[in-house]
Amino acid sequence: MAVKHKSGLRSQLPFLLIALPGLLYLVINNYLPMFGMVIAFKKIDYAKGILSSPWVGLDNFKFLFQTSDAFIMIRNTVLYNLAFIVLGTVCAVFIAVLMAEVSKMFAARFFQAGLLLPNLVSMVIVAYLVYALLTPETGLINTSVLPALGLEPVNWYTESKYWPFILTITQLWKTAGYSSIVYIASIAGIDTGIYESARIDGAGKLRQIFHITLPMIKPTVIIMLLMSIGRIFASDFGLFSQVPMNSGALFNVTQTIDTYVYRGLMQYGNVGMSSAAGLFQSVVGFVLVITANYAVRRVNPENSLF
Amino acid sequence: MKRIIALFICVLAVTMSAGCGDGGTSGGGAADAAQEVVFYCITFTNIADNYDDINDAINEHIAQAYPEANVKFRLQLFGPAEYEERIRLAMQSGTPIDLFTPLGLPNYVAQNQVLPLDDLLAEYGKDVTAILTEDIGADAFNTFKFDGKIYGVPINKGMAITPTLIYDKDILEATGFSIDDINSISDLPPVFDKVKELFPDVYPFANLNQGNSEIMQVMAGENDVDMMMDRVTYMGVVIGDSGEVVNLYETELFAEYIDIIRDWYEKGYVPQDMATSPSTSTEYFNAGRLFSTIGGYGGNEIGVTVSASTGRNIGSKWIAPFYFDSTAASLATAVSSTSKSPEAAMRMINILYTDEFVINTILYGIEGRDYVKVDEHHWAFPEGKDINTVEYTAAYSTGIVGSEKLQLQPVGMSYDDILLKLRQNVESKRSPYYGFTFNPANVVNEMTALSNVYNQYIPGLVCGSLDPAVAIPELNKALEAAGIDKVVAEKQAQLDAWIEANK
Repeated sequence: MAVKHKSGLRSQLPFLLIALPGLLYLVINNYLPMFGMVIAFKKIDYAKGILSSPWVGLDNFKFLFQTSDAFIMIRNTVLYNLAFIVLGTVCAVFIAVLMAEVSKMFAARFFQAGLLLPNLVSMVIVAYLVYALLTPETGLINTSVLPALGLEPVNWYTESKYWPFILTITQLWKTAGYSSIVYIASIAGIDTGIYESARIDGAGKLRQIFHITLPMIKPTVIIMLLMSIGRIFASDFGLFSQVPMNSGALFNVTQTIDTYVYRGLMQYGNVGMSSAAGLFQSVVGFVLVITANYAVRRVNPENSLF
Repeated sequence: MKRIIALFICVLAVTMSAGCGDGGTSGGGAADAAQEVVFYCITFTNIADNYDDINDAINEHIAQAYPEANVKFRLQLFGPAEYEERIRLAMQSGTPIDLFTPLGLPNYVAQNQVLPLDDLLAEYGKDVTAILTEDIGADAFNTFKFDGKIYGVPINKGMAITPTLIYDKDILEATGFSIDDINSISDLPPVFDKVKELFPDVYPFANLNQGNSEIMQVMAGENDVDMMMDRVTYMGVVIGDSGEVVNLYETELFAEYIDIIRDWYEKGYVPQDMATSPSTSTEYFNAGRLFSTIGGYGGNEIGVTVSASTGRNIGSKWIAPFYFDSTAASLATAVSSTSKSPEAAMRMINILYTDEFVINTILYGIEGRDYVKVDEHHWAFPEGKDINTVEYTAAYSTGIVGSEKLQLQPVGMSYDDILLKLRQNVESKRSPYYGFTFNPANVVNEMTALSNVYNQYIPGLVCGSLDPAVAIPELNKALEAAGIDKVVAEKQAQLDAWIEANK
């Protein structure tokens, strides 16, 4: 047994060496910076440096919970992300199923490129695309669309009630095409024999989709879901700050943890508090992944991440 | 697993000691070699790819003119958006940085990022002390004193930034009004009406900076409001000489001025998206679609500058007095607490504030190539060049560096204006609390929360797009939740102590 194990290690050595650069990268890029977590518990004194600055316990975390803002920003972050996760997954799977039915090579390439393009556009540009549509005096919606429908113009950047929809649509427009790639790939990996036998048994397109495609990509969907749940406390800064043009009147529906921390700390440059907010986000995200994974494992161990 | 951890710790140890080593070597220069002093400077113009020649020219001059100073100067330019971030990064990573211009000194003092300068000034900064005492007054350094120690050398410039109406002369002429008819903002609406009537495409008024109509500055000037060291968010102010710190946003005064701007908004004098629009007065002026804006400026010749950059015929006039309050002197040169040689840094400050060649080379580049000297006090771009095509310039940083008296002025700007600006320092109505400094260390959490409330409501209120009847009560509820009372109380306590100490 022991001998076999040894030779096993020797034969695996080349593969381990291949993995080495990647592992090193992981350590240097993802683990070394974790040293910075200590900053969250310190009152940074630049003259003394990070290590000798005094410890302050949880003081840096207090500002997050100072006001009712804490509730608003956590609510916004979580609800938006839930909406993005659910709607995003539905849209992405829907697109993937449709794309799988496009058989002509040229058409498939064309649609794929078209779906990917929004994802390559920077959020700042997206913000101005939205702005071109919504700007009160010259925007397309107020000057052409609403009058054509006989509606009054809307001052979009001060009316918070529309923004949950605007943000969700923007986000889906930007990301759905990109996230569908994973599902397109996993649909492509399904054994075509299964579809053939289904056809012989008389199953139509819809039946094939509901009884073959969707069950076959279920594990992929679950993994993707778990991974996005881990980021449920993070938010796309560009989407929540740039797209609403940083408008104060919209903060009730656009404030997320990231934008709050940015707005609050830009002015004071307190790295301790910024780190505290980042750490808080990560810890909660970590707990959520573990919980979600545990829940999945209870239902279906095969589909869990670990 | 243990091995992996051991490896991990090894890597960690190696990288950390490498980090320290870097800091060690650069500090250990030979004693007689010139000490390098790195100056982080803000610029509002394009940054040249390479400006070694600027540094070389300055160093050549320093070596000749001040051999005893024994300093080697290195300029580092950054745009305003990244400036403070770069300072923090440099300090955290051990990158050399000696001099910079903090945009909010109290926060830097609170985090020990800057050095106390009293001893250094006494020993190496005699010239700069003399000049500042002459131009600003014997109390020049007071605004930069914390716990009795000086942390900044004030920029020697006109610090009275008077709310100034900047207007299109041609449009004003067409309306039949004269600029003499306009003496305060209450004179503006009739003119605005006429502008609207004659030029439906022209906005009577737009903001100079995004989300800020400057109405608060007008209010402060007309009513002697001392912002108590918080020029950005005005949390806790003193009105007049009452000695009582109040929440400005609860006062009648605030509501009164917000009503004015709300009225302008409702009458369509201002762009309806002024609170959020990235378009500001400069663009509207450029397009010929704007009559006026208000901005805080020193001197009274900003019209000349705006005319030059917009290609329109622009004039300017003070529209409200400036109240020289505790906040007035806000910019100073500070020495980084990570500086390897604070003595050299102070010797360099002394040169920065007293040497004409050094300051003008930093601002305008190499004479002949980047600028030409028109006469004793004026400069111009060389034939065929402008601010975008010239090889090097930092021409807009004039109020950021050293002493304004030594700086050349653009052609068309009268030198008298500089002297006027410096006179304004002494002649503007001075708040009895000038010299008071606020240390926010005890209320950092509150200040952070408050600045978020500020961002949420104030741009909308001061640009008229929020209904004050609804928004002001909401604002005050939010401020209260964020701890305004604690900040006001803390300010009051520090002010009382200051008044007691300065009796």
